[in-house]
Amino acid sequence: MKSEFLKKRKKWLSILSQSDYGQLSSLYSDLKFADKYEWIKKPEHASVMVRGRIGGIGSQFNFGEITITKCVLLLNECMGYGYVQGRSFDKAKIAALCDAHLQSFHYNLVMENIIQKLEKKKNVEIDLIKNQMASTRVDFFALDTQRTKNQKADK
Amino acid sequence: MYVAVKGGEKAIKNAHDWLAQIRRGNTKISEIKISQLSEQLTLSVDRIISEGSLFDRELAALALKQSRGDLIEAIFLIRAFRTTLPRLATSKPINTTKMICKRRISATFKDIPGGQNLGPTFDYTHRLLDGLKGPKNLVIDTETDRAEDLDMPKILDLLNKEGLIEDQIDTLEEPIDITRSSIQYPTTRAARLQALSRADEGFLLGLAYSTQRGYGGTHAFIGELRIGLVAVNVEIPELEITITVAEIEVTECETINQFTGSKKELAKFTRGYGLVMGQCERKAISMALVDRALRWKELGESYQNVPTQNEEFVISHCDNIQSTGFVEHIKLPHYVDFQSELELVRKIRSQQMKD
Repeated sequence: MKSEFLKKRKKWLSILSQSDYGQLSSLYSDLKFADKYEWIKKPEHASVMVRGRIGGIGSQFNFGEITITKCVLLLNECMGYGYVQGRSFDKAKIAALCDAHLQSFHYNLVMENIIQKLEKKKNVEIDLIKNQMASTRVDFFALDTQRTKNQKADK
Repeated sequence: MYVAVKGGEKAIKNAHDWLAQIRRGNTKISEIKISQLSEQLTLSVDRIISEGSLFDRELAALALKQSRGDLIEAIFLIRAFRTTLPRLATSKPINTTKMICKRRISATFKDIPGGQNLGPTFDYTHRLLDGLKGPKNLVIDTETDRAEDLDMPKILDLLNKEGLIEDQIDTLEEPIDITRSSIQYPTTRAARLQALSRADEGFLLGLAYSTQRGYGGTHAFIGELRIGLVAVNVEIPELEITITVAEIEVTECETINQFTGSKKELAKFTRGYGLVMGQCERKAISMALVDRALRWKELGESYQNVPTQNEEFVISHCDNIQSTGFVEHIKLPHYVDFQSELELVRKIRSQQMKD
């Protein structure tokens, strides 16, 4: 039961973190929640050191940093966590509010009207990249050189 | 020795005000927006991200504008800003095999699973100034341009399966972070890769070229070059889960290099590795060449007394903020310093004249 919840939460937090702020805030305001929350930890900017692997598969090395914004709030006895890419306090706040609502009886409402829509947009973007890349797929032909011509003639 | 000076407040203020005026340029021409820079000068922004070592497109674009387009000045601004951020966590290592690729090519194998995909490249353009033709719609043929089978295994893994290339073992060693502790020589490959990934593109390019022209010589092929999006996963201890906190664009280059083998080992290929934030293909290739050259000792190659075999030379001088800090500081007042030199030379001369 608990692991099922954690699995779902992992997914929605991951979708919220990479969402487009404009889309997230408009979807959230459409739901017209009258949120009464209190801050546990106000939004703050921070960095995460990103690791890579040597040769893509070997030992780890420190690659470079990214900016993120983090906050924690309490809404209707649910702790909402906001972890988002970039430096937007408001985006982190909305993500935390969504996280709190998703732990309440608003689950279906928020899942259908926010998370699934964000996910859909993300998938459309990924499909577009994949299609565009596939359209640039090439077949290179190695041309005959005098040497390969001679080899063929010998046969 | 440097002795501090005081004064000049008014002159400095006027100089900075003039700088702001010049940065704005002719006010009859509309001011450029940060979003225009981040959307339209993407490769400048990517270079600031890579050498500033902080992935944040908006900040990089702001730095580009504030610095009047001086990339090293912009990188300086980003480096200064990143020191103000508390470090929240260290991510899980990114998985480049799962990259959502925009470009993926191999110069060593013609037919590869997933195919050769050029992506948005300058390659094969005519390099003619053509007055910036506007964007055209891509002709995507859904019959032949199948996107669904874009499973893209690593090319070097295919060689690895045959045992033809050195394996890359995870030693589970905790890598040092050169932003937190200074590099001690001899250093590790992990520390070198971190330094090279944030290094100056021009410096790496020159060094990489030197290895190709004969100062050293590791004879590299591009086994695989890929550009695309990777997820950054971070464990959140209080929630007991690992979430994707971000998605970043990276460029990865893996080279295949000759290795003749030794008494202990059969001949096989070796690897050079380049990984750079943003779309920085030239730098990723250069990085892989320099990485491979620096591995001479580990691979038992002979020392040829060339720059790219000297890790202290390469790593100590590859960072453009360190370099520019020291090179440019000599333009600041050194009056007291020089005064003592002047007195010394006068004294020696008068002594020499007496003799």
